[in-house]
Amino acid sequence: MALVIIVISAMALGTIVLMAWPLLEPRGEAARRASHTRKEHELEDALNRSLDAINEIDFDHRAGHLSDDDFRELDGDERARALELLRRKDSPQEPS
Amino acid sequence: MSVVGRAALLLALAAAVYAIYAALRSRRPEQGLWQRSAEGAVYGVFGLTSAAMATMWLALLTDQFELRNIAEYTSSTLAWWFKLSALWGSQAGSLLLWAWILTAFSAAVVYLNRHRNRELMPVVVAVLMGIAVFFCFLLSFVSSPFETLATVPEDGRGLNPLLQNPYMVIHPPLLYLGYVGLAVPFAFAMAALVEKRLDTQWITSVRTWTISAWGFLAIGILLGSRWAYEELGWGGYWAWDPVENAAFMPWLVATAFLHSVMVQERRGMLRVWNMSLIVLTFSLALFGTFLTRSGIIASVHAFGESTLGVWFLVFIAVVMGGSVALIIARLPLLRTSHSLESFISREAVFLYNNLLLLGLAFAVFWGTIFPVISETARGTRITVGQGYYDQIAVPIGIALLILTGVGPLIPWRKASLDALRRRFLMPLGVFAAAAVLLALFTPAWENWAAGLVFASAAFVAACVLSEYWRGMKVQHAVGDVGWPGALLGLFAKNRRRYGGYLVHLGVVVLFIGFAGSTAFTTSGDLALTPGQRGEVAGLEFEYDSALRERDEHRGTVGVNLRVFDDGNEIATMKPRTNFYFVDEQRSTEIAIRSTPQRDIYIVLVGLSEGGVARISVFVNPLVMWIWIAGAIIAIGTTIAAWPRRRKEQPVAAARREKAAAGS
Repeated sequence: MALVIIVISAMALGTIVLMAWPLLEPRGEAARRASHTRKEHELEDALNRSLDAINEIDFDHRAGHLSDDDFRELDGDERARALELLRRKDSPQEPS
Repeated sequence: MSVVGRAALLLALAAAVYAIYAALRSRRPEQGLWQRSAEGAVYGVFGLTSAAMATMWLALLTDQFELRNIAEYTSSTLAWWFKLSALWGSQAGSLLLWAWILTAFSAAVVYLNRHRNRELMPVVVAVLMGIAVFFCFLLSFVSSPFETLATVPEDGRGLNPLLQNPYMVIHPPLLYLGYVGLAVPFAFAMAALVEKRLDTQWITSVRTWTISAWGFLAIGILLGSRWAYEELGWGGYWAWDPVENAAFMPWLVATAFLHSVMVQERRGMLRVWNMSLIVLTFSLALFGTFLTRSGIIASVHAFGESTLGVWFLVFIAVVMGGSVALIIARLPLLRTSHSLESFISREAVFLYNNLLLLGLAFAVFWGTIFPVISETARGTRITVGQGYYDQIAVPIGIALLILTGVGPLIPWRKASLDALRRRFLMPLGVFAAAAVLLALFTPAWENWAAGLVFASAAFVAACVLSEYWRGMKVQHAVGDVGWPGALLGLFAKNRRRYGGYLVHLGVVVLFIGFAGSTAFTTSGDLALTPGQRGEVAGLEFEYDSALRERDEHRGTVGVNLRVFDDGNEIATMKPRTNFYFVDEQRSTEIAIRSTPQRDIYIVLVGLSEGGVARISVFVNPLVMWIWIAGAIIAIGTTIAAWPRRRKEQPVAAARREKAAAGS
């Protein structure tokens, strides 16, 4: 019975530690840095999606799945989006 | 042992409730730390359900017959791998597996998105943990796998002989991976709706999850068919059984979703449709679980009457009601300015494919629940037969097969007649040649539907292969690589598309197997004495000798049959029947000789004391191709779902170098 109590207590304690630990961390510089890193990751993801889309549109055009007019429109839109993302990514950002 | 398991599940329930609270609180300004606390709770819930699983497996392996689940589904003589898999042979055990996979997926989602999709994650966590709360509640208060018996039996009742099969180890977990995997795209869709981030980000974020869940369901369904084929002894692999349908319906709608999201990604259209599809897919996954757990339908797989039905119905109503309300609330944001410009375009073909898939899903749904509706309304249970399903599934299936080839060849937006002629000339030529060759050299057209499937299969294969060729030519020209490199480059460049085309080829092979085995099966019954011969489908079967064996677990009787084709002996086959001592049950062990051309399938119906063996023989053409198709679909799905490894963007790398130099 003692072993059962120890096992159950260990499970409960482990879960409480996992939940409480982030709340006990100091709020401040570390949190701001984490937020900054996340923003970088999200921009990078969006840029990757956009670059993938440009490649796919180009490939579809070469393979004949897109007419010249459609290609120009879709490619132009996607390149504009990618440029905007690149600009945001390259601009110096203060961790906020 | 039961106390530890129960405690783990109760703690998991409490931690999941906390995760929902913390996740929703983290959406307030300056409350970001709660998000990490919620995610810590998700890891905790996974750890606790893992502890419950480990406890149950340990109890199964060590024959803890004080647990009802173990006493009723295992025995001390059962092989250890069947003891482990007996966990999902019971109702409560299968719910535990559901909860464990769900919490494992939730922990994986949290880990993989620790730096990504941060705006979506609070709601994603809340939705996933909401589902976990439902299952942990059922496991704690309604159907506990750790329920104990007042009187402990000396041995258990044993596992149903039909379940003592290697497929029992793999088929249910695969289906569950599929069902539960669909919770992830559902959670992201809800998060996108709540956070009003309705672009394609949520779709691309869950692409791997959606394709994987679809693949698990597909392979799970096929393995279940093979299990039925090898165990049930009626000569077939698919009977439109309600529980087969339960897995088939979400798979059909998930297939529609996988195709229609491409229209949203490329043209920004079908946003409401896609949201509705993922809600329907997940609701059908829950409905499938409800069908097997509620006891409202009679099936070879279903558990008996249980108290779970009402809980599941309420939960499905909450999921559907909440999701639909959210979609309606976001309708102004979901509407798009784009519209269908031509009925002959890639997006139109995807729409046709969607309508057919949904039509078939609805027909299957109606056929599955009709016995329940008829019993409720008129007091008589009217069962829907195979004829109903065949009448609907055959024409829709053929139309879907043809669209499998047509879709990839049609351009986006609109197609000119000239482009269509250039694309379809060769595949249509292949169709015509196949139709003529089939008519001249095979009996394929004796059944019009089968003949059409075979000719259409040739057409679709030509379409898909021409698409590979077209892509290889572009890759060859642009990438300056040889032809093998061009083919590999296609898979590297666009895994979803070219892995998907491999799945299309698998579907072609699947339909060939379906058509051959349903339209041209021959069967017959024989009663033979030793040395006597009988004939079925041009094959001769000679009863050579009887077989009687026994071990501590079971006894076996069987016959050795020599099989002759055109006077040449081609095989000795051994159909048997097993008798299990502990639970006094019997199972039929079917003898199958499988070749690419046909399966010879023999069931021992009886062996009398006088030495007369009664056997049923089925000759099923092309069945092997169904299992080969499963392998092709599995490979194609793996390629399509495999995540891309990203190279660091040059700009980001340069910035990091600059930052490093400056520090």
